Amino acid sequence: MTLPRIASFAAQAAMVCIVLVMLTPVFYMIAMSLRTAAEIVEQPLGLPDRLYFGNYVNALSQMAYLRSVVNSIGITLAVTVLVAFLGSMAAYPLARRTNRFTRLVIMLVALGLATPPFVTITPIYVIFRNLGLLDSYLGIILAFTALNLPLAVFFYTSFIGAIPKELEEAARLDNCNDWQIYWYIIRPLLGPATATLSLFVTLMVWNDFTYPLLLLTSPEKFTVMISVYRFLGNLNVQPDQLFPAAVLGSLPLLVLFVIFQRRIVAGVTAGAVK
Amino acid sequence: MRRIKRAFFGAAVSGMVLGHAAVAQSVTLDVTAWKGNEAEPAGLPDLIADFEAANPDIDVELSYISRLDTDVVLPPRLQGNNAPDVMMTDMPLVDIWAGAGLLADLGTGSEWYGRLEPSLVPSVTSDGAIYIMPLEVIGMGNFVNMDLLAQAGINKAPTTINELHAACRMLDAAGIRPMIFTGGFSAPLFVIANGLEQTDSARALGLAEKSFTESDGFNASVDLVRGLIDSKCLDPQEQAGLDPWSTALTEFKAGNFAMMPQGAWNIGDFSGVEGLNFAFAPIPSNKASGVALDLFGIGWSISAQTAHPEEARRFVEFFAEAANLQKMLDAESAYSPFQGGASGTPDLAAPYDQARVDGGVIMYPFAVLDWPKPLEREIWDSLTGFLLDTEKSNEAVLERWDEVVEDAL
Repeated sequence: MTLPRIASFAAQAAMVCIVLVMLTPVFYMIAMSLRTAAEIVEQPLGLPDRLYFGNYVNALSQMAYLRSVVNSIGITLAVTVLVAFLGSMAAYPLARRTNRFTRLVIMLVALGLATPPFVTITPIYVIFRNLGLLDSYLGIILAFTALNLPLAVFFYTSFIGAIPKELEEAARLDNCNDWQIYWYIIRPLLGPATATLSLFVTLMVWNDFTYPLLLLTSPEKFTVMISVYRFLGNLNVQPDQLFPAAVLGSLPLLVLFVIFQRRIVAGVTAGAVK
Repeated sequence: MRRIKRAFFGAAVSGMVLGHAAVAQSVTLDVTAWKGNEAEPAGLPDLIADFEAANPDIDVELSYISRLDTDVVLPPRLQGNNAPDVMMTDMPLVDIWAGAGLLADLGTGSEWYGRLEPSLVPSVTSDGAIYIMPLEVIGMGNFVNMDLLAQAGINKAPTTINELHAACRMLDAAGIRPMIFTGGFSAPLFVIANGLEQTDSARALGLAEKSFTESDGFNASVDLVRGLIDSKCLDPQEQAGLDPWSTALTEFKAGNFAMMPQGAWNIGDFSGVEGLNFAFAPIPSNKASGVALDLFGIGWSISAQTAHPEEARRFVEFFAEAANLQKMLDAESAYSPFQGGASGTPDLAAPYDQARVDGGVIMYPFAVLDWPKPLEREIWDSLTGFLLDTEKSNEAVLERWDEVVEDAL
């Protein structure tokens, strides 16, 4: 075996080890969810002797699972689309028209990124109450959109800045206006950035439970993470209750990622090699 | 025939009108609590069903919000004039929210106020007003696996320091790990209980009128931990990394350790473990009784902004009735906050009960606002640091506590 092949083998082995370490908590969560409470007590770190699905039956019976998954998917999808659309539209002029005003706007956007969530939580609640948007899907979608827009604007501004201006100049020769240039020239080139941003936004919206807990009060509007949250004790953790709920909570997202894996990876890596 | 038809029609219309009126009068109470979920039901789902059955004009919508998230989620609702009608609270929350005028005065003229345990009255009364109706007092003591003790030749849960040292040596000799002593919770319970037992006034320490660094009681209490290490009660570095809310509990349930200072709220969970024969005893101390470290934990408060004050008051008073409260006390293995109130502790908590009878009760100082809340986290952190490096001086541990107290003033 030559030296480069040994090095390559060692690098691959190291990568496999790193992946295994990263997957260990996930594996532990799934393994725990398939064991009875007695088995977990007997051997806290043991593997399941048999696959016990009773924990899942219990969790499903207490979670209003389908309804909350549908809510989560709807809210996440709407927020992701809105953030990508509004963020890219706002970023286009900011990236192209560089003057004091746009620099100030970019700084304000950066401030939005740096603001701790507990500072914004009360103003958001009061504004939404005054607008009559509490306990509504529209309210939670707008809240998440507002919270994620600074990231999107910042993200797209730097990405659009790297797109050659010649493309736009050519479009202007063909009598395209600003909107047409954005829609037909810039937007299609934002695929990789949108894919990466969508990943961030989806994970953030799906996993957050503070804002749904704050803005939604009707149980039929709750997201899946609020359903999972009910299984978490204040002073103790019941692995046979919490872990199946956690698996069920993350399962839809995992399925979506598996289904769209190719597109996501293609989107993220597109443009990486020129 | 026409008369019959008319009478029938009239009755139907009356029924519809009355039915509509009944529906129109129905009130929905928005209630939040950090109990009542799947992990910690505390009997709340049944009690709410009972309340609704007894009060058909009131529907209760219970939302679970963990204690930690209550600090984040409820202040915006309170400040936004859209608070829940009734909220589960504790004294640190009441201190802030009542001070800001966000809670309704429940009235010291209430029937239940007159029945409160005298030791609780000063803690919950503020300038002649009361903003919380206490639901329970819950013990924090020492869980003891009696089968493991028996294997080492011990037949009684230790309640004194000497008994604890002897038990640890015998358990260690028998190859049994004696004690879970997590820096995050168990060690603080032990140190606080033993420190306060030898200190005149917890409040003076919390107000910086006296210092922890110069307190003989707390210096002796930290020394007691060194003594436990010498007696092989615990491996300090191993304990520093153990999580008190998950792995520590599983380890005790698995029978891997013989003792564990923790809260009585675990009794229900531990009782469900087949083959786990355990007792709930006081925290061993230099007194014969040991220390029964009582926690006044939860209560109900009514929002000052509620649109349904009368219904909210009925809800709160429902829990003050002994028969109703008993269901919660049983589920929580807790004591009634009312004079002559029964306890919900099972027989296995008899040693703890006895310590209370023998005068071993000390109130957990954070729950009655004797000590500032930030100090609790500091004690956990500093004792974890101490377990990692037991060569540290007592002063190095305790001066951090004094600093936090001074910062909080």
